[in-house]
Amino acid sequence: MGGGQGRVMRPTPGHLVVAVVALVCGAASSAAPLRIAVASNFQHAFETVRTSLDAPADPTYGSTGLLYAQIMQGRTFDAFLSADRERPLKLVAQGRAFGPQVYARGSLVLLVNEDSPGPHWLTTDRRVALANPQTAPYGRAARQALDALGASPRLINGLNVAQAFHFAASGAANGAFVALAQVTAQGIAEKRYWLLPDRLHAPIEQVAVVMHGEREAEAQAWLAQLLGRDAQSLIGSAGYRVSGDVAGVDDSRD
Amino acid sequence: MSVAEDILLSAWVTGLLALTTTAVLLLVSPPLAWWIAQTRSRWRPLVEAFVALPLVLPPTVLGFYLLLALAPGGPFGAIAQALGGAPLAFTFTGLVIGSIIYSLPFVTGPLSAAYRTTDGQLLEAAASLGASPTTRFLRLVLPLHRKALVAAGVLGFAHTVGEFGIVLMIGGNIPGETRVLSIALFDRVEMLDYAGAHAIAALLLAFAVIVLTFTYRWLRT
Amino acid sequence: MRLKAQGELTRGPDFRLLADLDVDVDGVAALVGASGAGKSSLLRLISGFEPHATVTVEVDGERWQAADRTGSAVPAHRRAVGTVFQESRLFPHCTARGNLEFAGRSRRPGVKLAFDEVVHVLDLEPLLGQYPHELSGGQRQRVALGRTLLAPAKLWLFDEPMSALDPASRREIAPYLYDLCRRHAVPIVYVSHSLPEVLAIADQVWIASAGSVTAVDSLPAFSTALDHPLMSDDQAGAVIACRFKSFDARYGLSELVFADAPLFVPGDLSAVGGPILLHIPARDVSLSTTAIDQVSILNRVAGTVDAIVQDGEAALVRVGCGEQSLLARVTRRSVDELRLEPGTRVLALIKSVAVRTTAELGPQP
Repeated sequence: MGGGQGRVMRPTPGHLVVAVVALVCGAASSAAPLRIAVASNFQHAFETVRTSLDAPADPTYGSTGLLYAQIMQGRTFDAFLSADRERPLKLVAQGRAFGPQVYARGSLVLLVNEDSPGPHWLTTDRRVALANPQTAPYGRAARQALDALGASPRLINGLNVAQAFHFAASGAANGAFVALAQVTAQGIAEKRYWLLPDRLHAPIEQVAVVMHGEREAEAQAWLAQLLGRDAQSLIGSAGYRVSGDVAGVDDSRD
Repeated sequence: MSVAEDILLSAWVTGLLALTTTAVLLLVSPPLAWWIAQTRSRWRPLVEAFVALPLVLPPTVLGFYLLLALAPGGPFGAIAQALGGAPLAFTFTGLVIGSIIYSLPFVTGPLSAAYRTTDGQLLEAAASLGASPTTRFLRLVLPLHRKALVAAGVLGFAHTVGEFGIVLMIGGNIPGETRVLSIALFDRVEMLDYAGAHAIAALLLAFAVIVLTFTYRWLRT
Repeated sequence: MRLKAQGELTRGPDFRLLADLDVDVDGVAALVGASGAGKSSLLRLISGFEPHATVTVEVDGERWQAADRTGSAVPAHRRAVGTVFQESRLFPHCTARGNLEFAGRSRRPGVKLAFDEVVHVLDLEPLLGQYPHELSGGQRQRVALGRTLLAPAKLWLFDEPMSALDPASRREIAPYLYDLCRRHAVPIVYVSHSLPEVLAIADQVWIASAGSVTAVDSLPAFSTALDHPLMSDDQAGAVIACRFKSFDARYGLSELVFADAPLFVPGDLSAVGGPILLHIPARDVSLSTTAIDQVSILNRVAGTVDAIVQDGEAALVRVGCGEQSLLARVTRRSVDELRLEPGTRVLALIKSVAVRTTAELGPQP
């Protein structure tokens, strides 16, 4: 590996041939892209950042729960960019993965179909969509924020933030708790969303792990680059908060 | 809410949804199926296509458009609000509307296939006895094909119980109102609660097997 | 009642009929004609089962449908026409009673018989609780007949109501049917291809040919026209008009006069006023060129052969007797041995038992 900085990998017939040969031989080849499971909420940011990384990556987007279930059923990935902490740590505990790192911190916003939302906006007659609090980190954060505010609008449960966003965008719900990354990606005017203060909910830490396997070294290098200054800056502009030191995660931090 | 409560509540919503949907379909489908079976109208292929859409479209496509239609700005939602009701998205009523559309071909299709086999000679005889088209339908076509009606009703019911995609898109997963078993099952899987998932999946499977077995047995008698 | 059906009826690429019906029904009108002559199609037009045909249908001046499709056709259920079909067409999911009750619901104008009366006249009481599949063919047709009588109607159409039945069922239902025709409450059009049947019931006879219908003004002339459509039928035979002479109570025989010869028929026909019509099946007539004295056949009529046509393995010989004619079916060998040809003088031997009498019905000869 080790191509020059900023090298852009585009699939060419040559790549395809190599990939096919690699598949046929059953051997890992450095030319084959790394298979990365990516939580849906990070999709836009990932598309922004992937070309700045040396190794080509082949992302599979999905809800964290679904990707986790697929991994448990034996689907092979080289790295897993989760939307939460729990599932990557479970994979580590099971010995399927190692090296958990927070690669992005999500910010929760309240997106509404009118101007100037704020805590006052969350009245009982409003229908507000959120990701499923039982399964999705943004949903849980939204739930915590609502409890902290003592607000009780009518809640509509989306599967994930993407669906919560859709519920609001379709007009079916009056508003939705979504990720700052989503409104950033959609270029939504600032007056239509309210960035919730950190104190209202536990941090939304998105943790990445390297999956044990033949290409774990390559994946580890790739992940290190994702956590590097350049990539983190791109992730930051995509609507995530990044800290200067991207510390490793362990259970004692909770 | 315990897992058992969640499952029971979801089962209740599911049963109520399937019953309501089936009841409406048993009122709507027979006349529609009869019209399709015997009309000479040039609109028939278009109507048939619309009825059959849920057979070929992913439920999520229907759900996507239904959500827009049920939203306050959409046609259904606007009608509901004009009538003094709440917007239909994320309500049980909205779910019923979605289920009716989704299960329509499963009730109308078999019925119109059965109605097409109606002996034209009997219809002529009924007409010659002074029976109007409505009377012919109610007193001849319906009772002649009562088995098809029951079979279609069971199919519609079972299909509604097993519905997922549309509910996912327009339901909003509200416990006691729009959370049905298939969604609860999905939640359980997402929550990694595989025991709960097993319980729901086994319940749905047993239901389907029992209903279909009894229906097929009854149809043979 | 004036019936009109004029125009073109097409059904698919293979069926095309130019309907030309314009008649007055009075009492029972028999409609005869070879199969394919359009008899059933004409009835269907009147009933309203061909609403898309470019045919003008008028009944008593009321336009029910127009060939140019101006206005919409009066739908079948509003036409006060009751039909008895060849098949019973009973509703399989209803008992006989259910079938009868189905008919009683219509509110269209017309004559409608009372339920109890119909059940009584047709002896339907024992059948009421049974389903069509539990009934015999004849019983089914009886229920169907009753069902038609219970629906309001100003005209009844009987489309060969016995043709789908076996001989036993036919014998079972014929008395009911003929009785009904005699007591008809409304005009009846009765499609038939049996001359004896026509003779038994009809006040008028129409012949259908390629969709057009003409009235038959003389049954005897019609029955012996060798090209008429029922001729190839097994029931070919002459209809003759006779005069009553006397009744011999000792043998129970009536003596009639036909072409100056005596004809003996069973039963007392003294009460019949006017001419008596008889149907003499051709197969029951033998021919002789010499006088025979000692045979069991009572009825012998002298005549002259005036036409011979081949009829399958046999030959059909028409014998002129005065102003009327008889038909005889003989073997071709007999034709040769007797050297029969137009002009040959013959003796027609008629088995008296084969003579069918009619009541006072029938057109004037």
